[in-house]
Amino acid sequence: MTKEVLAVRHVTKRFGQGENQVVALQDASMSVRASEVVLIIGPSGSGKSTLLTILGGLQTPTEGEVRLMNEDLQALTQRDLEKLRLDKIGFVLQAYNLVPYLTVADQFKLVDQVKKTPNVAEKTFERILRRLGIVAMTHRYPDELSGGQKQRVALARALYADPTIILADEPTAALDSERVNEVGQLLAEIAHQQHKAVVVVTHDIRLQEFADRTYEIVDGRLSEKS
Amino acid sequence: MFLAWREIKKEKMRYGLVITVVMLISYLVFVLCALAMGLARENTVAIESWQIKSAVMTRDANGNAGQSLLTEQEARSLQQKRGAAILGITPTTMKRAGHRESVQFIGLHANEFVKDRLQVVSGRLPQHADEIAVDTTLNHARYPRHETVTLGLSATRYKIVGYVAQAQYNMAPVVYGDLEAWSSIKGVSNDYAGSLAVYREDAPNVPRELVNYSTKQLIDKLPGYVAQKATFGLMIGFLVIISMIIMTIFLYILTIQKLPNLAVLRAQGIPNRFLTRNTLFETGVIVMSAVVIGGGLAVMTLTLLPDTVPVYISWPVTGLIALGLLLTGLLGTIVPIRLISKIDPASVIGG
Ligand SMILES: Nc1ncnc2c1ncn2[C@@H]1O[C@H](COP(=O)(O)OP(=O)(O)OP(=O)(O)O)[C@@H](O)[C@H]1O
Ligand SMILES: [Mg+2]
Repeated sequence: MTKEVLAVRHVTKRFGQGENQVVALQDASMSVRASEVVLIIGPSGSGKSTLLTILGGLQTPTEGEVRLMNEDLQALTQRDLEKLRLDKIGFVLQAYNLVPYLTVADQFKLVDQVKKTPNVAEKTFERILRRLGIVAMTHRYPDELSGGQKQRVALARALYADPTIILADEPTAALDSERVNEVGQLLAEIAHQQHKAVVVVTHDIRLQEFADRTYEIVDGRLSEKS
Repeated sequence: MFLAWREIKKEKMRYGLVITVVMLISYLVFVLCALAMGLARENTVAIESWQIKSAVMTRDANGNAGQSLLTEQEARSLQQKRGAAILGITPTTMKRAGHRESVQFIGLHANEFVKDRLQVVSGRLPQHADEIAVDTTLNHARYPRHETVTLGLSATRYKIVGYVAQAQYNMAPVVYGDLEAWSSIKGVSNDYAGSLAVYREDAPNVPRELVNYSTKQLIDKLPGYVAQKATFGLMIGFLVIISMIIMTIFLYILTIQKLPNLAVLRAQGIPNRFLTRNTLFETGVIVMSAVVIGGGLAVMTLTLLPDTVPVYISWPVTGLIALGLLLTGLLGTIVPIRLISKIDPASVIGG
């Protein structure tokens, strides 16, 4: 049994007051271990983004508890949360993942500028770049890359900081079926070979085959699919 | 710095444009400043060259030394104090071989301190009542050394014996001569001994008919001087403010465009201060390159201007203006920095 990286216990998130109140998450509980891909799937407006921002320490839950590496996120200051995101969490987002005026190589160097803890070993990173097929593109700017290439660079960027957990928000939104499979495979590899915990939020059911476990979210209620 | 340099490198066009605009403004500021100081010096440089602390003249002259007349008796009592010098000043016309020149004649006593402070560039100072030394700007073919000229109402021919630097007063070149010559050039009776008394130190107490001015008061009393200074000051001030507004608008638009990317960086844990420092650094690069290029062009322009345009480049003032432009530019980053600090990193997750 690998260790639990992320634990979510009875998390509720409400927006607004009184009549206008929206319950985006209702008593959600889940856990993620190292070396597994966990998929969170649900229709539009079901609370996926809300859940992911709470997992990433970008928002605080109204009720309940989120523990990352056994650390209670709510007990941390903004600065600690920032450091946690820099050191422990790799974000892969739908868009704007890359800084437009940095070459691919500089996207990684930017991490060195602010991060004090060591990054992934050089050898390992070279292997990652090769596996992602972006070795030859390190001198290109994002606007010289295709959508799929950009997403692979974003994955490499997320892995560069050697995080414990990867949080991916609709990583396949802009991609065709072939690319969806590719990204799915990569996420699975990252989990199984690099031993990262990978959480993917999506409404794309094509990703399901790459997941070790899947949660379904409907109207803010989270349940594990067997 | 990491982000700033790379952004400027990638977005050469944008940054080139804003640097050009700020550069043109700083160019204008530097040129205006040199012109303003050039004009100001034509008013005051002679007074400054004497290194006096105060001056006494008649109350009726209202601070205009050319209008003041001291009686023999007044002059004698004003001379009592150590470090005093009596000067006879009058605007007049210098004529030679059909050429006419509007000048300020300033008559000096041979053994008083002002004479020792004059900066002779070539030749020597006058030693006789019929000798004069003129401002270096008159050192050309029309007024060669050893030639004689006539001055004002005097029938005497005065011989040019030397040229003096920093000899301009009230927008005219100065002709230094003997105090004895002053009354005949001005056409007043011998009862008057001079126009004003100047002092190395504070002036003594004076009777009611006389007034004691500090050097600054004396300069500010020059006709048009204060208005001229205020006009140039306003123009320069407005230009500096305009450059700040341009910087603010530019940085604001740039930051707005970058906001989604900056939000992602914030979500990824890149601290706010890193991004803020970056914006400040970018502003610094813009202003400094603009100031350096604009300053260089201004110096080039100023040296190419004809001699008839009075110009003076003061390095301390230039440095001060450069600093002012830099500071106002940095002030212009307040708006974008506020924008950056208000970014909600949670906004990057959604869709
Ligand atoms: N900041 C907010 N203020 C008020 N309501 C919000 C806020 N954020 C989300 N909501 C509401 O919470 C619910 C869940 O939103 P969320 O963005 O998590 O859905 P989602 O599953 O990500 O949808 P999609 O697939 O369309 O992105 C929605 O009803 C939404 O309107
Ligand atoms: Mg969403």
